[in-house]
Amino acid sequence: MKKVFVFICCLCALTSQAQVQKVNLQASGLTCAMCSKAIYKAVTALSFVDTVTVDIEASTYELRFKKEATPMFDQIAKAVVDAGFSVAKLSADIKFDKQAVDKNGETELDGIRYKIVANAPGILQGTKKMQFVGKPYMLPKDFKKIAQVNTTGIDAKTYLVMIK
Amino acid sequence: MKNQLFFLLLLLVSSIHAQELYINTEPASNMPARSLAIKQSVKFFSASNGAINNTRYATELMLGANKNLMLHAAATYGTINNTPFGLESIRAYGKYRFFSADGMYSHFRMAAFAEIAHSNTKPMYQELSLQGDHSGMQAGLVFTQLLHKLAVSSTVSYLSVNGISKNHQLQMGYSTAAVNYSLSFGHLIFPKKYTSYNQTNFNIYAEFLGQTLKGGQKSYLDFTPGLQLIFNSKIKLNVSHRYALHSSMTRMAPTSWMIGGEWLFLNIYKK
Repeated sequence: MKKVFVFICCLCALTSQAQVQKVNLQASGLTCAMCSKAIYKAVTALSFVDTVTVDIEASTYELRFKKEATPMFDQIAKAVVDAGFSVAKLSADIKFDKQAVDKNGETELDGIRYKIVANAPGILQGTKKMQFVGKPYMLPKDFKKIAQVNTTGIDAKTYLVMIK
Repeated sequence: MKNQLFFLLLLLVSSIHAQELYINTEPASNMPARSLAIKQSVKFFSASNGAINNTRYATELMLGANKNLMLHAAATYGTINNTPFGLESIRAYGKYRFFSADGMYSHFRMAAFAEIAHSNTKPMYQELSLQGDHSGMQAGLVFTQLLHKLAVSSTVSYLSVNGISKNHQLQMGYSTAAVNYSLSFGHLIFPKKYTSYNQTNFNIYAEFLGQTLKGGQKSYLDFTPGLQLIFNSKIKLNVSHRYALHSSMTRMAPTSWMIGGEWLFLNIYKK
């Protein structure tokens, strides 16, 4: 009986584990600690964010999320912009379990739709680092380097990503 | 004098981190949205013999209304021109950032600002100022370039006095409008490497503040070196000294000292 209980507990722990394990954010347009703190406070205040680890010198932030909470990537980018700065890079470590990707490179996980903009595999397996593509998530010079992505017919809520 | 300026500029150009939290001017960047800052300062004006002849206190509330708009409300009070201690002026200021291009450790930003002030004091000098002396309006543009090693900010504005201030200036045969301009540099001395928000930051500033009265005959150009400590990425302590490099107008004092504190409160209200 005890073993069964432990097994159920383990199962619950596994199933409640968030698919988005962490987000790495790099902010641009700042060199001061006071500015960095403004971003830190802005992302910490987001309802789905649990912990934020910062490297002030590199202007990078690692965000981890509350259990059962769905991270909203657009809200993270908006928090940085509201603090007065820009997002240089945003990527998420997402855990997939035999996740099917359609012929357009699109897939949905935890109610979040992603479109893989280049070299989309048919199935996603294991933890993948997804880098967000688009003006709100990249330095202008990095955005220019990316070939034009055909966004016709894509829902505005779909995130464009590259597998790193 | 020239050597001092050269040394300071050299120091700024060779800096590792630039700072644009200027003491005497506003950069084109704004405070974070939904943040509030309280600034308290005292300024001592010295006569040419070095004696302090006027003391002015200023309290300013600054609000980051949204990512592009910043609003200030300020009051000055003190013992100015031998009057008993009391309220001298009130002022409202708004700044809108309309252009922003951010690089990894750089940015170029532009903002427009406008302010309106009401002063109780009877102006006695040709110099025009909305920082307590005159009632009037001012509007202008701010340009700020942060380039990792150098933060340069420049302001150009037009100031026009009104009400009693204008009548008084006209009675004295003085100009009632001016063009103001500034050029500011900032440099982080400590820490050499950021590891925590609790590290005390030490910044030095060099700001040039100028005014040319309408008509173009009278002008001044001041140099204001300044020191700044920032505690816990939250509280600023500012000290600056202002003196004229050139002046051809009558002014309250040829030199002044300013000491002030500023407290920043982030996320004061929810969206």
